[in-house]
Amino acid sequence: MSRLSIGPDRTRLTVVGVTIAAMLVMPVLVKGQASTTPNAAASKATAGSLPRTADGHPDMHGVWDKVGGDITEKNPPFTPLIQEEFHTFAYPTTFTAGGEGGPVRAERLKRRTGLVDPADQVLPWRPEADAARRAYLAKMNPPASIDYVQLSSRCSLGGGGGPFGGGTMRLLQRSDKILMQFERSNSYRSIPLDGRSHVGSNVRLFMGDSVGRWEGDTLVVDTTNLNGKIEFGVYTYFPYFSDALHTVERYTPVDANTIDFEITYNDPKLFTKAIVSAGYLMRAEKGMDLIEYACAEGGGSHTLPNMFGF
Amino acid sequence: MKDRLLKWTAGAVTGLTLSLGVAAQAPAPGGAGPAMPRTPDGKPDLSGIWQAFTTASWDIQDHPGDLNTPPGQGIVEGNEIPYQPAALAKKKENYANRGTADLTQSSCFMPGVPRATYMPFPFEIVQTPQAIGIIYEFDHADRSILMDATPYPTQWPNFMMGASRGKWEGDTLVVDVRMLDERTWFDHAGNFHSDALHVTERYTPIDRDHIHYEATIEDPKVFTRPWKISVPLYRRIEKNVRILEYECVWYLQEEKYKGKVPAAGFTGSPVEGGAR
Repeated sequence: MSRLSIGPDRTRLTVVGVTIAAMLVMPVLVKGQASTTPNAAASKATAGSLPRTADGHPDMHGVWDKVGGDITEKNPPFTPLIQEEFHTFAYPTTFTAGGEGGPVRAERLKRRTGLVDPADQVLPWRPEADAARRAYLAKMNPPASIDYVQLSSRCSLGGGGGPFGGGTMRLLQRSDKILMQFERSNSYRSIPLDGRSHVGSNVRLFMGDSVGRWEGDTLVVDTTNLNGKIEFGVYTYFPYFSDALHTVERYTPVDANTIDFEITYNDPKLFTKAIVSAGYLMRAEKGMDLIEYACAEGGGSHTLPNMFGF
Repeated sequence: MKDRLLKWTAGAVTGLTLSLGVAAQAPAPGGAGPAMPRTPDGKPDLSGIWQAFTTASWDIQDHPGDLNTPPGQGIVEGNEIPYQPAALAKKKENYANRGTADLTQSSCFMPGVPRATYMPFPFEIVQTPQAIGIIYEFDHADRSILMDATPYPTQWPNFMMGASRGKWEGDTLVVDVRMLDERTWFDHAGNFHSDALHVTERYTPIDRDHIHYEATIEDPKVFTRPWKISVPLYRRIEKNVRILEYECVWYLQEEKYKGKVPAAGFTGSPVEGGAR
């Protein structure tokens, strides 16, 4: 495996290349896929096939790659941010480089991924919110001000889908807590399972405030208190969720190496009803570790100076 | 920068009512309060939200106050840092330039290890037998301490927060930290290291709400011998306390670019580095 070090003055390879290259060096095959049945709701693992923790829950400990969870939009608006129209990609599809990628694996595993509701991909925009996002998109290239700079270019936690973006993740599981540590943006989510309430409504966070609980073998994560500075995807037709976003993620382990998930996005400022997207987590190869995402310390430190000239 | 220093001071000043910042004594057997809970596998359970109350992030040695710096007693055992002669000159140069050269403060770089432990911000330990995650409120820095023999990822460049492997020695969590990026400092006073830095941390419970934290510093390119820092860690016992976000880089960008427009002639996409 080759070194990516290019000396103390790190170029943008460190920002983008680390994550893409991390995918390049990771063999992406997963052996012994047990199930090819689509649809998490229909899959029912037998009690014997799921490893379990001492408190009886499915054991989700380990390093995972994410497939799906993206939001696609039928007839999206043209935006000067991208040169041609194409569907929103969730962050995990960057690991198509160098080996089997997300879409290929999805085909092989035949699991449900992507937008589930609305099935016709016509997103239920509030008219005024749709108009506002089109106006916003029009000012993103070149950005009219720092407020129109894509979040993925700012070394912030909101880029690439914020807490709901993809990429490699390490999950530590306790009976009172789930910790997710993401390679992307060096972000993390500390999810208490002790039944506490959300923090006060004046606390606003890029990653929101999450509380979790088990419903049978499904981990349910409820997230509020987002700050309205989360984009969805890197190339996107709607550049932000609002601070009214409330999400519910449902993770259902299927076997030792696969966790189906479904995420319900409810953003009443943008949409007239909830949007649901599905996907799955695949256990990364044994020994796989997360690589530090040092954005401000590396290539990400050049983006705004290049743009603004200082 | 002065405003930022004063804001960081507020947390440390509150904490100073609880601690004089003296280098911690070795823990007495039994401790002062209820014992640290244990995990099912019999180890002390260090999980929870912790914070050091010390001014070490400004200067790990004894230091007076000034307009931007709270005074403090040092956390270096013996109070002397054994610099090689050329390195001592470098430290003094760092001190003179600390306004810009302390990249954690001037540019919001991740603080590295051990400085992340004694920044005036809380952090959370999430302990499992396989790995221990530490998430820091400052700049969303984090670490995974793998508790197995996974090799260090030396095919990669060094990391700001290094790479960590842990094991238990009795009731002490011993963490071997390598691959630390040389651009972090031990404090704002210019105490520095090279890319050969090797840190050995020891987390020893005193009682349920206190941990004795010690870090042994080895760097043959900079110091004449290993040396140690130690500082108590206090459990944050407020009900429903949680780690929030101190998004240092975002704040810096807002301050620098708010109300500005991109340079004339900029035509690149802002995605992925925005090269012209």
